[in-house]
Amino acid sequence: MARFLPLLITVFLAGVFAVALLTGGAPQPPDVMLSRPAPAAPISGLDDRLLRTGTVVVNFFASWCAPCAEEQPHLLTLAKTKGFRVVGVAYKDKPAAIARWLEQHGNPFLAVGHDQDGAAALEWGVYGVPETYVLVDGVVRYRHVGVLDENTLKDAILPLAKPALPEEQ
Amino acid sequence: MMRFVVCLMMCLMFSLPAAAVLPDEVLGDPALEARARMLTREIKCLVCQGESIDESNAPFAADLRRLVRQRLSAGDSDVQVKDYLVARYGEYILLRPQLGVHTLILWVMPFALLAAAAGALVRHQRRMRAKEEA
Repeated sequence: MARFLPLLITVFLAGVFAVALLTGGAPQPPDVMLSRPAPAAPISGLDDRLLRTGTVVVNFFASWCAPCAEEQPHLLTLAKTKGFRVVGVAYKDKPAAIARWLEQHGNPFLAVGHDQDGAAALEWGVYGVPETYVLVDGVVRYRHVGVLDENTLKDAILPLAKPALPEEQ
Repeated sequence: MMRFVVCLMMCLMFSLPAAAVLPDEVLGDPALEARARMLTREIKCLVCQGESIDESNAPFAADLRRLVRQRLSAGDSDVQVKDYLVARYGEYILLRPQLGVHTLILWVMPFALLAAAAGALVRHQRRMRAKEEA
C-alpha cells in the first residue's frame, strides 16, 4: 500500500488542479453587498428615494463599454416587466456621450445617475462595467458582474419582482 | 570582470518593483504618504492578477489609490481604511489573508505539514538505526 502512496498523491493533486482549471477562470470576488442596504452615498442625477421601494434594477454602464450594448435588450425587457424599475449609473462617462448612446441602443432607464470619477462605483463595490444590482425595498438581493444573459434574467432577476408603493407609481 | 559582477549585484539589490503612483496622487505629508504606500501594497488590484494597487497601472487601481489617500487624509487609521474596503469588496481585496477561523487551514497547514514531515523523518531514522543494531 505504502508503495502506491506517491502515485495516489500525484493522482489526487492532478485531479484538484484539473478541477480548478476546468471550472475556474478568473476568481470572482464574493458578493459582500448581498442582504445589505444599498449605499447611501448620493449619486449625482439619481434621487435616492427611487432606490428605496419596490424592486429596482441598478445597472452600471458606460457608452465606451462595448459589452454594455449587448445586455441592453435584457434591460429593455425588464423595464417593460411589471414589478421592475430600471435605473442606470453612467460610469466615468460624459452626459453627451451617454445621451447619444441611449438613443442608439434604446433607453430602459427611469433615471440615469452620473458617476464621472468612479467614486460611487467604489462605494457599491463595483469593479468594472457592466455590473447589475437588484434592490428589493432598498436592500441588495442580487448582483451580477458582467453582461446579463437570458438565464440570469429568468432564474435570478425575474423572481424578485415587486411593485413600488402605490403613491410612487 | 569583478567590477561587472559587483555592478550587477548592486543593480539587483536596488531594483524594487516599480510603483504606479502618479505624481499628482502623492500626498503633501511625507509620513501620511509613506503610510499610504505601505497600505496600498497590501490591497489587491481586483481587475489585475496578483498585483497590488500600488504596482498596477489600471485605472481601477488608481481610483482605489486615490480613495485610500482620501481616507487617510480624513484621519482614518490603517485598519479603518482596510475595513472600509473589505466592507465593499470582501476580504478578497486584501493580498494577505487575515487570520481567522475561516482561514485557519491556510495558516496552520504549512506548519502541520512541516511537523508531519519531521515526524516521519525521525521515525524513519529510528527504524534504520534499529535495523543497524540488529
